[in-house]
Amino acid sequence: MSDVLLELDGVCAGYGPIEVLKGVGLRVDRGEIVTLIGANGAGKTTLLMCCSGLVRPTGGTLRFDGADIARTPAHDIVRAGLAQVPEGRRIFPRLSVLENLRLGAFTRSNQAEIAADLDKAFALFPILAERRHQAGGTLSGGEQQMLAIARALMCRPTLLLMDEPSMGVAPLLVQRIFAAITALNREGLSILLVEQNANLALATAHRGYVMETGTIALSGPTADLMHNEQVRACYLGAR
Amino acid sequence: MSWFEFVLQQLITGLTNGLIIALVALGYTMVYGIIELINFAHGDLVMLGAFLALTLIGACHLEGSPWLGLGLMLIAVPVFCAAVNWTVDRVAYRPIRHAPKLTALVSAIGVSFIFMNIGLFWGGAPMAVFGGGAAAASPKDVPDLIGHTNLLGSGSLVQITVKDALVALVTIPLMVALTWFVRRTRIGTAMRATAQNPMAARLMGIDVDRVIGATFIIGGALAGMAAVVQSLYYNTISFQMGYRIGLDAFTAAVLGGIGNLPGAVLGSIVIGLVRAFSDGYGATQWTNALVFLVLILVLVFRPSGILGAHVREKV
Ligand SMILES: Nc1ncnc2c1ncn2[C@@H]1O[C@H](COP(=O)(O)OP(=O)(O)O)[C@@H](O)[C@H]1O
Ligand SMILES: [Mg+2]
Repeated sequence: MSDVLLELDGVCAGYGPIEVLKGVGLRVDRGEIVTLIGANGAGKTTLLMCCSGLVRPTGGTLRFDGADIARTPAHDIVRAGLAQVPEGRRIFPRLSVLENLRLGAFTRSNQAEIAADLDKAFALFPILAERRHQAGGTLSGGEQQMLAIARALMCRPTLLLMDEPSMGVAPLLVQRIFAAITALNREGLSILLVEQNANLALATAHRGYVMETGTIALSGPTADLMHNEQVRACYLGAR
Repeated sequence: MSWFEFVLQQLITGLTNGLIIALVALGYTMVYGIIELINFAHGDLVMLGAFLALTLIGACHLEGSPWLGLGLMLIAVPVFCAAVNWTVDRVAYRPIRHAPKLTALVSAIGVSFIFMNIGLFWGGAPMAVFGGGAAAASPKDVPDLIGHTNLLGSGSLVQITVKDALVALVTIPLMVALTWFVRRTRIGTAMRATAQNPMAARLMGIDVDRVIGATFIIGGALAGMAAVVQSLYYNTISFQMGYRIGLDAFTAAVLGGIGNLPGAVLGSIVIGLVRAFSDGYGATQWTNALVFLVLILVLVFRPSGILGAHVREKV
C-alpha cells in the first residue's frame, strides 16, 4: 500500500470548447488534509468533478488508490472509496434526512453496518437525528451542509472531496463543520478541501495548492503558504 | 333513469376511464420526472401493446378460454411493452441525453411516427382478427372476452359491469404496488433521488443510466397493462389510438403536477370524470374543449398542477 492516495498529473479538462483545467498536477497522501484555494472561476470545482468522474479529462493522468480512474464510471469511483461533498450541497430536497443518509450508503449492502454508520453520523451531527424525518429541503444552509457531509461519509470513503463547505453557512456552524473535518481526519480519513475562506482552510489543512485560471500557481505545506507574500496579498486579505 | 342514477353511472364510467388513463399517465410522468422528456411515443406504445393483445387472441384462439387468455395477455403484453420502451430509451434517447432537451423531444416524435407505422403494417397482417390486406388502416374489433354482465343485476339501470371490475382489479393493485416500489425499495429511492438531482445521485454511486432504464421498463409495463385493459374495455383498437390516449394521459399528468405519481392518478380521474359527464349530457363535441378548459383553469391557479412540487429547494 503506497502513501499516495490521489494523484493528478497534467490534467486538462473543460466544457465543450471551453478549456478550464490546463495541466493540473496535485497529490493527496493517505491521512492528509490538502486544501485547494483560488479565485472564483479558477477551476476548483471542475477539478473535483474530474476526480468524481462527472467531468472527463481531455488529457493527463488521474489515479486513485493505485488505479487509473480517468475513464471509470462515476458510480464505480464512489465504490472505490472516493466520495464528494459537492458545491451547493445538492441535498435531495424532497427526501427525508434519513433517506438522504441512506442514499449515501447506496453502494453498500450490509444493513447492520449501515445502521451503525447512521448512528455515527447522528453522533457527529446530533441535529440530524432530531430532523431525521424532515424533508432535506427544509433544513437551514448549515444543517444541509452537515447532512451533505454525513451523507458522503455513509459510503465509508477513504478520500473525501469537499467543495466550499463554509459557503452559505452561519459562522457558528462553520466552526462546528471544521471541527468535524479535523476530527474525521484524525480517525484516518484523507480530505481534499476546496475553500473560499483561505484563512480557515490553511489553518485546517496540512498542505495546500493555489490555483489560478486552470493551473497550479503555488503549493507547499500550509505553514509556508500562510507566510507567502503573494498568498497573503491575494487570499488572506493582508497588506 | 333518475337524476341520481344518471350521476352515479357517470361517476362509475368516469372513474373506470380515469383509471385506464392513469396507467398511461404514470409512465408519462415517471419518465418526465426523471429526464424531463415528454415521451411523445408513450401513447403509441399502448397502441402496439393493444395490437399484440389482439394478435394473441387471434393466434392462440383465446375467445374459448377468456380467463386464461386474460392472464396470458396481462403477462405477455407488459413484458413486450417494457422491452420496447427500454430499447427505445437505449437507442433513441440515451445517446442524446446531454443534448438540449428539444433534441430528445424531436427524437420522441420520430419514435411515435415509427410506432404508428409499425401499427399500420401490423394491422395489415394476414390474420382473421385484423381483417388483413386492404383493411390495414381500419379500426379492429377486439373480441369481447369477458362480456359485460351487470354486477348489480340485470334489473338495475345503473351498470357496474364485469369490465369495470376488471379495470379496477388490474389498475388499483398496480398503483399500490408502484407506490410501494417507489417509496420503499432501493431502486425506487434511487429513482426519486435521480429525479430530484441527477448529479448528486451519481455522487451517491447510483448508476443513473440504469435507473433511467428501469424507469422506462416500469413505465412500459404499465402501458402494456393499460393496452390490455383498454382493448378489452372498448373492444376496438386502431393504429391511431395512441394519439388520443397519449394526449389524455399527458394532460392528466400536467393537470396533476408533472413528475408527481399521485398527481398523475388524480389528474387522470378528473379527466375521466369530465369526459364521462360531458359525454353523458350529450355534449360529446364539447368534451375535448371541456377537458382543456379544466386544465387551463387549474394551471392558472396552480401553475405546477394540482399536486405539483411545493417544497422549494433552499440555496
Ligand atoms: N457546466 C459548465 N459549462 C460551461 N462552463 C462551465 C461549467 N461549469 C463551470 N464552467 C466554467 O469553468 C470555469 C471554472 O469554473 P469552476 O470549476 O466552477 O471554478 P471554481 O470552482 O474555481 O469557482 C469558469 O469560467 C466557469 O464559468
Ligand atoms: Mg467552485
